[in-house]
Parts: sequence; structure tokens; C-alpha cells
Amino acid sequence: MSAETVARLADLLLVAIIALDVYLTSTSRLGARVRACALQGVVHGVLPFAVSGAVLAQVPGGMIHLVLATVGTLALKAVVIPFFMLRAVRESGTRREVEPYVSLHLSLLIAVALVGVSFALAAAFGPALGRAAVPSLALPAGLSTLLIGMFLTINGKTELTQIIGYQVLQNGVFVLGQTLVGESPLLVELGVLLDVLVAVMLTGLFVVQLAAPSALTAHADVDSEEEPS
Amino acid sequence: MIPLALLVVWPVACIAVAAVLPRPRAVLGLGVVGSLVQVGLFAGVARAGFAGRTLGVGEQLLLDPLSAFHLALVVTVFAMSSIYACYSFAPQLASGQLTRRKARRFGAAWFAFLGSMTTMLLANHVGLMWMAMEATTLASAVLICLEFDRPSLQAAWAYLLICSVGIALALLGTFLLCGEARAAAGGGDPFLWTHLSELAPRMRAAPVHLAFLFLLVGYGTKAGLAPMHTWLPAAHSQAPSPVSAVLSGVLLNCAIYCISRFVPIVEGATADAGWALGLLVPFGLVSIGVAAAFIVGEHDIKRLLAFSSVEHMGVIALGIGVGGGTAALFHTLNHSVGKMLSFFCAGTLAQRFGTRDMRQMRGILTVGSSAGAGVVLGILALVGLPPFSIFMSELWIVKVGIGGGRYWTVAAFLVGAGVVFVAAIRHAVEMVWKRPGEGREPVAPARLGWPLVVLPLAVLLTLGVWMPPVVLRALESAAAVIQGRP
Repeated sequence: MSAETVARLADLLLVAIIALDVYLTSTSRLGARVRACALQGVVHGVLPFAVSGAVLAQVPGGMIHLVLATVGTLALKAVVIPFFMLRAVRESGTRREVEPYVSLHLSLLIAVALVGVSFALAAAFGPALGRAAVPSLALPAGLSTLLIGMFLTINGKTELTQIIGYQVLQNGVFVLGQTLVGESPLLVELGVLLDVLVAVMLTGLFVVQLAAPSALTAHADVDSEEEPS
Repeated sequence: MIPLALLVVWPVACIAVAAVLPRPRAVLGLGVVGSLVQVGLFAGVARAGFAGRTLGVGEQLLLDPLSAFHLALVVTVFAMSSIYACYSFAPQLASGQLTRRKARRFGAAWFAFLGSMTTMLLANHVGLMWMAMEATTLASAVLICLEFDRPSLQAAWAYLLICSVGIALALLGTFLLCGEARAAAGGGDPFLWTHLSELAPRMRAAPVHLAFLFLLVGYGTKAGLAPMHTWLPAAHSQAPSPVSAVLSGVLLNCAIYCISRFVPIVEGATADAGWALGLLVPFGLVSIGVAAAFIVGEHDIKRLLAFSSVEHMGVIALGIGVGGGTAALFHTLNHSVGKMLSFFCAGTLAQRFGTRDMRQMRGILTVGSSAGAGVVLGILALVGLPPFSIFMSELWIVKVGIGGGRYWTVAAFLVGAGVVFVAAIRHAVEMVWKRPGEGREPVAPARLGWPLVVLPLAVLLTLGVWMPPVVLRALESAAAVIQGRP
């Protein structure tokens, strides 16, 4: 592949990440959100090939590192974590986000605004941070994923929507990390993935225990339930 | 000398044993033995740690005076809390409420918590440090909701989510900083502390500033610095009291440790202009102010202590910010001991009265346990009453602040500390002397071994009147790391 094709491929992947951000805020079905989040994981899993594959191919052991990191990311983000999440969605019996703080229409507008803010921020801070090899879309794509992940976390009322938001936020951190830092050590990437996995599994536990979808808003009746029966 | 890796491996071995022990009583026993062995292991490396740098497992682990200081606090508070756990869980053990499953869950998460904190402090690799920090969140979230009732589950969930999001931002900061270190090049692994400090002068200021903002907000969330402290009061008050003691006593310090490790790197990259230190001051002042505002109207004794932790983390951040590294570390030591003592006693009182509401407690000095006196003296020590050592460390920070010409900062600090002083003492006095007819009589027997009260008090009193030269040397060599002179 020529350098130009690779650069175009990287841009395409980054556009896909932004599109998935917007899609995530525009659907209230939890299953769809889990799948979109997993797809985002797949995209950022293969992103390093497009961004720094050419450089790494010349480093001894670089390609092995890249393949291992990608396999690890894909296995956890596209298979294991979605599996747990979808099971938790089924067990909780909630198919849709009920009563988010901000309505679906408004959150779509907010998402678009956040993407705009990301481009503005990237234009302002990009020159100070950037290195020559970074694709121009990397900074806005990473920032908008980060911001939209944070918005989803804050806007969600149930544990499931909040943890999906957290995973989107993690995707954003990874996109920024992969594009700004170049390759990070294998140990770090896999370790971070492991932590995310445990967090998701704990969420499953919380979802089962706090079975009622209104659990987090039930502060008012905590006192009556606290008494030993 | 004992290899550093042993300090990481031993808690992991204890997790495995705790998960298969047949009886709840045995799990509590393992907690005591396991954490005392960890103290012994640390004692084996302590001398070398305070003297200079020790590396382990290639270059992945590092023990230097700063990490040795924090590790000393961690292993001590863990061992004391493990002993307290035997008292704290005794009523549950007698009534059979501490089932085998629950005990195993406690034991495994307890040692996972100890192991992750130890790994975090020993990590020479910035990424390993981040991972271990997130692992402390995961392990302690399990401990907070040990009872599995709704309030504790809600508290644990808020803790897990808010801290994970915070720590994710710290990861971004780490990536930014290490990316800049890599671009600065010149050989060396940009992810190792030992190399980062050498690379620092060659880094550009703008990316390092941005990275430190993310790191400060991220690890600051975990440290309970306001306004990112919202998870803290619920998590620290809903957790079982031995867990509260560790959360408040040392986990918060560990997050401050992460920030203070990055400070000399940032200062090195910005020609020691004091930019990073200057950022710590407002966070410290806001934390003190927020804590003061909430302590006034707080009636839950464990929430009161939790807000007091927010205040003291603010004092420590402020101390580092005004350039008093040694004073801030001295304050860290005093706060850990004082907060551990207070949570031991407050937990025992809460069990005795069957409530955490201070308005319901009366005559706590005469209920026949050292816990009542301990809680009163603990609160007096925490608000900074002389001759307790917290007074000395706060005075030291004030002196450093005035010496640096930061009069307004010192004034704001004193106002906040003054409000906390009056409000907390009022609560303490009301628990001791109540008008007849107010409050309730103790309902349940709960014991607390007197050494758990006397030992911390002795430390607080001794350090208040006399600073042993060996402690001063340890504090100064640890502070030298924060000031970039390892």
C-alpha cells in the first residue's frame, strides 16, 4: 500500500469513529449502544495499523507487538465485553434508556455541538501538541469520543447506560493515546483492557443486585429500607 | 535484602488462600497474619528505600524515599485495620451473619486492595502505576458493598464510576506526557520514572501543561480533592469501618502520591517556574472550604470523618503547593494515624448505638469502652488542637506559606480550618454531654481493644511535642523527591 492510501484509510477509520459517536447518542436502545461501542472498539483496534504500521514495520519486533495489541483489543472489546454487557442488558430487563436527563433529540444536538467543539479545540491546541505523522482527524476524533463518552456517562440514569458511556470515554482515551503517543507498551494496553473488563464484570454484579431500574433515583426511600426486617 | 517483587507477590498469594479458607474466623486470622507479614517484608527493604533508589524486576519496580514513606503508612494502617476487623466483625461472626461466602469475598478483596496499593507505590512504570491505581478502585468497590444492601451498593457504584472516569482522564494525561517524552527522545524509556526525570528538561512546556491538567483532575478525583470529591462521603461512610479506615487513612494519600510524582517532571519541563505547584493551591483551598461548609451540618459520624478527609487532602495539596513538601508529608503521616484511630472508634460506637447519627449518641465516655474517649480525642486531634501533631504540621504549613509571602492563601486556609475546628468540636461535645432525655442508650455490645486506641494516640502526642531525628530524615528525603532532588 502506498503512503497515500494508508493515510486515506486512517482518515476513513477516524470518520467512522466520529459517526459512531453521533449514532451512540441518537439511539436509546441499549443493545444497539453496546454494539456500536463494540464496533468502535474494533475500529480503534485496527487504527494503529493505519496510523503507525509503516513506521513499526521497520522496528524489530514492532509488527508482533502491533498484532498482539490488536488481537487483545479485538478479543476483549468486540467479543468478551459485549458478551457480558448484552447479558446484563437481558438480565436487567431494560431494553431502552428510560427518562434520560436530556431528551434524545436534544442529546443529538449536543453530540453534534461536541463534535464541533472538538474540531475547534483541535485547531487551537493541535499545533502545540502535534507531531508530523499524526493524521489531521485524529485529535478531533479522539476528543469528540472523549467528550461524548463523558456526556453519555453523565446523562445516563441506569448503571448500564453509565458504563456504556464510560467505555466510549475509554475508546476516546485510546484513540488519542494511539495517535498522539505512537505505540504504547503492550503491557499498558492489555493491562488497561483488563481493568476495563473487570469494571464491566462488576457492573454486571451491580445490575443484578440493584435490579430495579430506578435504584439510583430511590434515595428518598432509602431510610425505610435500611431498617432490619 | 528482600527482593521488591516479594512485596507484590505475597498479597496475591494471600488472595488465593483467602478464597478457599473454610471458616470465616480463619479468614479474619489470615488478614492479621498476612498483613503483619507484609509489614515484616517492608521492614526488610525500608532501610535501603529511605537511603536511595532500589530497582526490582528489571527496571519495572522502584523503591525510593517517597514511595518508602507512603508504603510504610500503607502496611502499618493495613495491619492495624486487619486487627480492628477482628473486633468489628465479631458481632457478625457470633450471629452467623458473616457467612463463609462473605468472609471469603472480604478476604480476597482485602488482599487485592493491599496488593494493588503496594504495586502502585512500587511501580517504576507509569502505566503499571495507572493500572494498579484502577485496580485499587475495583478491589475497594467490592469491599464498600460487602453488606450488599442498597445504600452501600449505591455508594460503591458511584465510587466505581466516578473514580474510573477520573482515572481514565489521568490515563490520557499519562499518554500525553509520555508521548512528549518520547518525542523529546534522547534514548531512555519514556514510561519509567527513573528516565522521565532525565528527559524532563528537554520536553516542551505546552504539551506538559496539558498533560498535568488531566493528571491533576484524574488522580485528584481519586484523592477526593473538591470539586471532584462527590463520591467520597457516601463511599467512606457506607463501607465497613476497617475498610473506611484504609480508604481514608491511606488510599487518598496514594492518589496524592501519584500527583506529587508528576510535579517534579512538570517543573523540570517548565524551568521550575512553579506552574504545577501553583495549580495545587486553589484545589487545596476549595477542598478545605467545601469540607468546612459540609461539616457544619453533618450528623452522621462517619460522613463527618469523610468530609474531614476532604479537608486534610486539601491541606496536603496546599502544603505541597506552597512549597512545603516536608510539612505536607508530615501532615500526611499525622492525618493517616488520626483518621485510622477515629474510624476505629467511630465504627465501634456506631455498632454500640446501632446508628451513625451523632444526635442519637449520648454519654459516650461512660459506655465502658475506650472507643468513646478515642473518638473525642481523635476528633480533637483531627481539627488541629495542640499538643497533637496535626497542629504542628498545620502550623508548619502556615509558616512556609507566610515565609513565601502568600498571606491571602494562608488566611483562607485558617478561616476554613477555624470553621472545621468549631463545628467538629461542637459535635464532639454534644456526644459527651447531652441534656437528659436526648439520645439513646447503647443497644449492642461492641468491643475495641485498648491498644488500637492507645498506640495511635501515643504516636500523635509524641510527634506533637518531639520530632525524632530518624522521622525527620525520612520526611526530608521523601520531600526531596517531590522537589526534584532525588
